Amino acid sequence: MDNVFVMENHNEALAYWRRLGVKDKTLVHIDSHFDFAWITDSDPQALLSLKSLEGFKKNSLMNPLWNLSGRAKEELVHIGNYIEPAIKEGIVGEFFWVVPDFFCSTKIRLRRLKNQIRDSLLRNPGFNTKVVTENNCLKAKIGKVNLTVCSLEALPRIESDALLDIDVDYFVNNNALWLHPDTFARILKQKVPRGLVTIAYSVEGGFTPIEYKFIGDYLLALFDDSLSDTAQYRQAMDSLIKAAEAKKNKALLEAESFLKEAFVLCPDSAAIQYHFSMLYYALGLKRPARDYYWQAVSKDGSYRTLYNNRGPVLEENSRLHSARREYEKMLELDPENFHYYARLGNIFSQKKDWGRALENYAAALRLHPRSHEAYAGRGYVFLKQKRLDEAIESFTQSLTLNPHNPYANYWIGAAYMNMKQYTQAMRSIRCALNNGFFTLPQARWRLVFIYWKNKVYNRMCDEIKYACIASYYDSIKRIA
Amino acid sequence: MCRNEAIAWNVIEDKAVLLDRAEGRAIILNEVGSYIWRSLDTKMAASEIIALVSQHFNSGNIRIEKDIRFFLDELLRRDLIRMEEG
Repeated sequence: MDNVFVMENHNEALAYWRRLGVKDKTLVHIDSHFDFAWITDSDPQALLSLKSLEGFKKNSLMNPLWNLSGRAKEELVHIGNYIEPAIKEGIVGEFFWVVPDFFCSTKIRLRRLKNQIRDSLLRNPGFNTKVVTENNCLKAKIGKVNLTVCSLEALPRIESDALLDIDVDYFVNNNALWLHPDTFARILKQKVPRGLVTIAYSVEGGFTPIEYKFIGDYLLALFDDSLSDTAQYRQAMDSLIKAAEAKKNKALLEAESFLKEAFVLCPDSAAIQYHFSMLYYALGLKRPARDYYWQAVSKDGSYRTLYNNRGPVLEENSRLHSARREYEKMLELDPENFHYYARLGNIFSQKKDWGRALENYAAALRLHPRSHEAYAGRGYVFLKQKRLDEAIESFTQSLTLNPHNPYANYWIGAAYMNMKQYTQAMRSIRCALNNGFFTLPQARWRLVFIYWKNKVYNRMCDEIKYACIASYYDSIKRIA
Repeated sequence: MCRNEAIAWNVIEDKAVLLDRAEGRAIILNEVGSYIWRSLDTKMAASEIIALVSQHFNSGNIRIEKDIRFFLDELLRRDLIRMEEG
């Protein structure tokens, strides 16, 4: 392929397509995630330019696609929705989402996938579509664009120039590779011989474990015809895959010998240095672990991220003890990384160990005085300790740095409620709803209380309705 | 009192239409409400608004005063207008 681009965040693909003036192409999106969602970018200001009240009344502002966050249109495009503007702008004429094989390996999984797609599409109330199952594939229409969801094996041959849009997280399942990039490239090149390739690492956010970030570079070597003599590099990456597998199977010495093989072939790879670092840490050799960590970071600064360990994913799965161990491990390698302190603060806060939470937030803020996450976390601790003035000050500092943070908006609202400042509380909680907490039942119920206190009974009745709906869906989600 | 600057609004068919983004809803005021809303171009005290409306609609009784005060309270509670200090 002639044009191959590698990026961290998948939505950067849209910028490449726009810049190259791509139109009406077949998109082959190879990913564990759909990356299509309706964007809430309709400007409600347009309602005010209507000429008649009749037209005005027909357009309800409760339509979830109105942009009530006050953010610019481009700011609303992210890794989870960038395919929507690509379709709207005519970049994409047909859309294939190639999912990992195990997504549709059983009828139950296929049905779950079908529900996920239907729910995503129907979130737009003005949109009506049917998702149908055909030969183990799912088919639907997004406007005039045909959508097909299938495995790599079921992908038909595409003769025209295509957009090959690959996410590295496609290759990883349960922290192991389920498909070798060589096998993938061989099959894909037969099915899609020509096109523009975009490859996303997707480490930020915890989608691709950082130890597999190098798969993105490996794919680049496999697809970019302009790179000369990649045989040695590919051999090194193959050894790295074997090292990662061996480490996962706790065969640490075997992993070390594969890593040494890889290092001889490719001594400048940050990925190999990072793997050495983690391996030596597992072997209890902390000094070389630290040295290799810093060598990796000096070669590629993106290895110094919050997501260079499993802490965030463990936290998300409520495995707080393991997450804490991960952050503490990383602090031994990188003692000045404020992210780990902020996250340790969150963990202690969840365990209601307020003292240690505050200590860690203070450490994070000493290292990085603009950490909005640490300010918000500290605000929450102050709120729980009933230190309301300090809570509000800390949340305000967080919101000055990141005004759209729904967490800080929600909890500053809770602090105002505690202070009986209901108008301020209403504004903040509304802001949280408009910036991502739209369906959070607790936020809805807080609004019910505020309206009751403010004696705005008609709003209260409306809000009870939304609170009940949000609570219903929340309980269904918990049961599922 | 003055309008909350965050509220976008326009006059459509002689009625003030308010777009409350934070609340995610639109409000259409009636004739008197629209007149009051448009009058809030300059800061005014409640008593000034009452006097202005009474004069404009040529009626001045206790009932109107009560209605206007109720309306202004409602706007305040919904954070559509704000009390200016000083």
